[in-house]
Amino acid sequence: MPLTPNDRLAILDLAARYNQAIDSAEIDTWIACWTPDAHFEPPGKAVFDGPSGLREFAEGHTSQFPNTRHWNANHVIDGDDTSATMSCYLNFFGVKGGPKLLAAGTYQDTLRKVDGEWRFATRKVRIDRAPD
Amino acid sequence: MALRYAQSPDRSRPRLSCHVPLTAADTIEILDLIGRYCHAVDAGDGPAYADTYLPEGIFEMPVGLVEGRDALIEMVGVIQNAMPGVRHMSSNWVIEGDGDAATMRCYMQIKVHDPASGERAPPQPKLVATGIYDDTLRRVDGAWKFASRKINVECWDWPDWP
Repeated sequence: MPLTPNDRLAILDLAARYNQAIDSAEIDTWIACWTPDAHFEPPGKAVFDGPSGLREFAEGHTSQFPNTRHWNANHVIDGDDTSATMSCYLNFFGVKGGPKLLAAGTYQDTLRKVDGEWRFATRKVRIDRAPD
Repeated sequence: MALRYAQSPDRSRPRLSCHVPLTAADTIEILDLIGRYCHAVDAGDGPAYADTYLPEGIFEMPVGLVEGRDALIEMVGVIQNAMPGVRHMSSNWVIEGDGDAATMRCYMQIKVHDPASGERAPPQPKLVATGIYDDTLRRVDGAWKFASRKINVECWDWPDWP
């Protein structure tokens, strides 16, 4: 079965909840956005797997960047009624002492529907680089 | 600009008495409403801005409440005068609701023309504020409208509210 409008809205909703959760240091809510076998490749060399790995990432990230906001746009979603891929843009802002764009990049994601709810299975962040 | 200092409206989740979940059409209409809201305030179109609210709609800022259609229209003029080149952007919309009532939490950024641009054309953009909106919405006569919007300003790099 193809992706329905409800699937697309649910995936956009998931991405919004993900951003609000990590920006508010609501780590349990953020981990709940992922499948149990999640795999996360944030910027840098380290990768993080499963709920315990995600918690390790989130605790480090929220203490290193306590006043930041994730913004996404240009979500491109493909898939069927059980699994999907998404690509979207990321603008990462600091909000302490005046708004400032700290980094920009893209996500490459895979998602699965678990018990009727869409979850991120993998996310890979690529920070935009200046051309060589 | 008349601001009322009063108790915030009740923003608790709508009562889940009827258990009619929001449909895809409801969500899309609410996203359309936030788009129209941003376009109206940035175009200086007070009546179009007020049309995104119920007649008794409330906009709440850290400095006070703006309540009702006439006050909302007046506020758009104040914003236009105070913030040349103003543009609102929103994202990360999390919408929950039931039947004819909903809540939304979303992010907001405000851009203006940078006064440091001088006579340069076009003016350079300056990002001056970010915040998070907590909204309540109701569907009245088949149309979703804001009952209240509360902006939690996180940073404000611009002169004080006029």
